Amino acid sequence: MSFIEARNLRKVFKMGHQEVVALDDVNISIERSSFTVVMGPSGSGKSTLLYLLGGLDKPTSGSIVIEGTALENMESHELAQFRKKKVGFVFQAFHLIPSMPAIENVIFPMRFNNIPSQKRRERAQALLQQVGLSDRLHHLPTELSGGQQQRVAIARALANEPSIILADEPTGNLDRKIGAEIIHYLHKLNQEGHTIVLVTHDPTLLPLATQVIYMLDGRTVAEDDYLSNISLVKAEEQEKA
Amino acid sequence: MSVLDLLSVIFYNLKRRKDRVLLTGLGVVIGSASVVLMVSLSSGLQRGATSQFGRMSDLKRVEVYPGMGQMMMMGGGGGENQPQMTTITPSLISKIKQIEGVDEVILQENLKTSYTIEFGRLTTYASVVGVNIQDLSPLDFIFAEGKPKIGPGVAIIGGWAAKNFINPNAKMGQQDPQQPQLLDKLVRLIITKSGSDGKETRKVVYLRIGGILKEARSSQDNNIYVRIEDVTSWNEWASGKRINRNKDGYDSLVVIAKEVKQSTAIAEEINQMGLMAYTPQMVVQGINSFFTVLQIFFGAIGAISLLVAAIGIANTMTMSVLERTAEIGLIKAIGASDEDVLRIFIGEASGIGFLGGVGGILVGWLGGQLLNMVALVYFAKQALKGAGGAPPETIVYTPLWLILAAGILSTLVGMISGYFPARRAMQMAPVAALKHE
Repeated sequence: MSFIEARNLRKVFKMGHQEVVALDDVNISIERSSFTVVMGPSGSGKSTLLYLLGGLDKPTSGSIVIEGTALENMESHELAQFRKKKVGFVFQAFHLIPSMPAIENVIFPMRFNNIPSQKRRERAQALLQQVGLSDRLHHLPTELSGGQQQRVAIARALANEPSIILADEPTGNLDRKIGAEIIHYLHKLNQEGHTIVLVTHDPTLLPLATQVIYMLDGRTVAEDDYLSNISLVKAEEQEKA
Repeated sequence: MSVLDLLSVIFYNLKRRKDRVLLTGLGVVIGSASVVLMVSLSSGLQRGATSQFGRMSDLKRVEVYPGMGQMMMMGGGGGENQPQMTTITPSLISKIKQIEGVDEVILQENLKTSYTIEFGRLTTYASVVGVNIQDLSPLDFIFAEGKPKIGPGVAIIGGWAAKNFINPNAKMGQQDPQQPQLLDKLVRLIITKSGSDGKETRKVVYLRIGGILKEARSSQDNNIYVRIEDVTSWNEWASGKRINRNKDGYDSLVVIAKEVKQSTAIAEEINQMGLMAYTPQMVVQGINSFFTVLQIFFGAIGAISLLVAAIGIANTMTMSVLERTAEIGLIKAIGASDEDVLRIFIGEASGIGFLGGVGGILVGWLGGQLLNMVALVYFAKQALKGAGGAPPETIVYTPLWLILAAGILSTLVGMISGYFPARRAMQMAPVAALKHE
């Protein structure tokens, strides 16, 4: 059995009286220490999949097993426990706490994890050093560039030594050069053995992936189908814009 | 999540929205300041009202007089030999001594004939009171001069009597005489008895003044204390009859309680024996219960503004939760449990309440001090105009318990106001929260 196994995943959102199927019959396996890129246009359900894998939401049906533990039957406090111990999130919008300096943002998740204060401070310093921010420990997020903020977010994601890092369009708010820098750090983490699942619609990230999952309209599709469809989708998007 | 962690997270969250915390906290400041000021004012008034009852030792005193039966009250007037009269007989005294909490029972007898007290050419008005103790320490008088000891021919004089000698032969407009130094000097007690034929006989007793009391604005100011056996013999001489204590009893008793709180119960028990007992503690208790009601009333008025402040906190927190959906999602994503989220948001609301409370205590206390200063100036002016009575030292008094209670109350107000917004934050689905942007 793989490190992460999702079987027959289905997720339906209720929008008023209407039901929106975000995920339909998704089956994926993710190996330990892999770098999985989930590709798809907006609305394809890729973020929903990521949140289900991270225990932030529950599937409508189907099962998710991570390291032998089934998520779909967990109570909300068990899911919180799972997120705390096993998952590190990186978001497109960074989501740093504006009043906390960089080091406090990295310490923040450890506060929920009963790590002694001396130890977590040392750990936060080491993590920020890893992402090249050892001279920015006491800067507030507003005093940091977007790329630096995202690096703080990566350090924060690593705080509780998670088994998986889930990144939701981590380069979406950054220009190409800075985005590449972020990808470089994530790649480095993968080479150190971290399992990474990254959601994006940016095909330039594909070369780093050990596995690519293509998604369209809530389903996983083969590469060929994706590529033939994506030009259509792109045209539609341009029309809308 | 440890309390310390919780506090530092709350600190960072409040720090971020300084102006909002300030404005919302201001409501709490006004609320708790008005509670503190209102209750301080009624506490101050209470202190003013009870302070005239003086020292704690005064509150231990129970004064006992012969009791008049119900029949007598309705009949109006009465004589000392009426059967309805309950006199202070030795058997009742021994019962009183057995009452729980009674420390000491002092017998008192007044000189019941006409008499004057003279020193040189001067005279003063004073009541001659005989007591059955040689050492007056149990009465806990404050002495201006001398010792609390009486004996054969040695008396103690009250503060007012000692300072109010007049010249009975003074002409109109003549200045009051200079007051004599009485300590260790002899005063003359001139007792007059009128015989059945109308002929007056005088008896002159010399008393050395062994001690002079400080003025206490109490009945002792007007007394001269001597031995009870002397008063008894003078009374017997004046009336020509032997006194039967089992029938006539004593004039009065002073019962000293071991503890202030026991004096009311002692007085009530003595009253049930048919005697009349009175302790200033009873009045103090009455005043205290009146002021407790006043304090609650004043406090409730102040609490109305605290209620308004509570609505302000609830409003701010609701807004805050709505604005911070992404942050709530993040907190959940990094592993905070629902309880952690609840505690963080309730903690923030409590923090606003606490900070407002601290500010309110400060403002309320300062307001009280300001009021005291204004009042002091006002009373000083009144005193210059010649309005009588000693002015109260303060009119606003902030007790320590009030400061603690106001702090706890404000924090509690924040906590309660924050509960529903915090619950809303807790119930927010993390994904919905994160997708908000």
